[in-house]
Amino acid sequence: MEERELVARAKAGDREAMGELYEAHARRVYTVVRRLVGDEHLAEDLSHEAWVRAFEKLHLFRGDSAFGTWIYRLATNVALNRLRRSSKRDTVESSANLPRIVKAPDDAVVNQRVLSLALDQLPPGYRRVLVLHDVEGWTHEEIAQQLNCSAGTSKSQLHKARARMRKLISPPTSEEGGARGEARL
Amino acid sequence: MTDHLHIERISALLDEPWSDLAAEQHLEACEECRTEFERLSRMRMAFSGLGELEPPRGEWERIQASLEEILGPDDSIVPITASPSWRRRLISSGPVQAAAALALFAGGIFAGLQFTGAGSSSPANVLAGGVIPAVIPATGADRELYDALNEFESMGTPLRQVGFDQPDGGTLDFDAFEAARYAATLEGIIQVLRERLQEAPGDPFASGYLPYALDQRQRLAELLEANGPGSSVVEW
Repeated sequence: MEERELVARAKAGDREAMGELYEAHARRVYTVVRRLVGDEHLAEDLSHEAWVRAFEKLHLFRGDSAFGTWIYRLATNVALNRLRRSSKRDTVESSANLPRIVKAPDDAVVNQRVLSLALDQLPPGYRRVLVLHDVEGWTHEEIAQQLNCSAGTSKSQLHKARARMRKLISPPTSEEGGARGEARL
Repeated sequence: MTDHLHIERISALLDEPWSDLAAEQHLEACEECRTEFERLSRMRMAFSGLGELEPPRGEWERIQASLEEILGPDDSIVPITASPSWRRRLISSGPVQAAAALALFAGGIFAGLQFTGAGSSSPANVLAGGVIPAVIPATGADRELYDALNEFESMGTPLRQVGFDQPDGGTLDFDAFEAARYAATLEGIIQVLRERLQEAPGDPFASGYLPYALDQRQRLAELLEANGPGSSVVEW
């Protein structure tokens, strides 16, 4: 059955069609939410919230885009709104307070698990831009529109986030806090 | 060399490799900054290779329970594992569309650009499947894309050395710096294509090229990740 038909059936209240739509897009939705919020339990809540809201508001889906795009955007909004609310309470940690994910100096491969753990440790403001740009492939213009900031701010946040990630996943060196980032061009 | 590029400036080079000539020149001369560039590039590549995560077990059942409260009970509830045929159709629709777009691209419909054959060994040729623009577009997105493709043309051949075109996957003794530069340029091209598709969602060139470029990026990421300790690639 075509996805359009599934959507039509789901709009009419057909739970089986909803289940099929869920099955087709659940991983994508959970993944983006999980990476954006950096917390497994919160991601479970928000993914659930996104899906319930999607089926509740499905009559508003006009089919201008694919259903997958729509639910992806909806889930992203749910996650970013939560981050926005919680960022008012959070204080940005200094790099000195961040736990370092220790890697052996001869570890040549960027381990995906280590990368995911480090992502979770980024301050939310950095993480959301890094995830949207480097992981999800959004442009700075799209991010700026979504976050209501300028593309320049998005770029700046991205570069800071990458620098923070490097600190988190790099092996300790004798230059810790030394040359790089201080004697600059 | 005592002064080094700030890491954020190096990070900017990953996305806009042509935007900061002074920084690029510095990289040529400074091994430490070059190493930092390579590390950032590998990290960036690893991000793009992050896979999808499994949703929590029982999520659909919880969603169903919530829907029941909101929409009322439904007699037609069945386990979502039923009927694998629809899943196959949904899964296959993406690649089919991408293949169709690529076929359109290969067929020579290029939204106003004319293309011709290029050198068979260049990375640009590998990436573009044998075509680069023959007529230089004056301005705008077409010109940007043309410049990006030519940037490839002027680069070394790290990917050939990595071995994209080798049946056994190639060797690992490639130039890590060149590979990182290649990756950065590829990112630039992907960025340009995305912006182009944003402006013109039906653009056959961009929609045909982008999946291919993304596939190349994924393959490069996999190769870089597979290139483990003891290889010639600069370690993390």
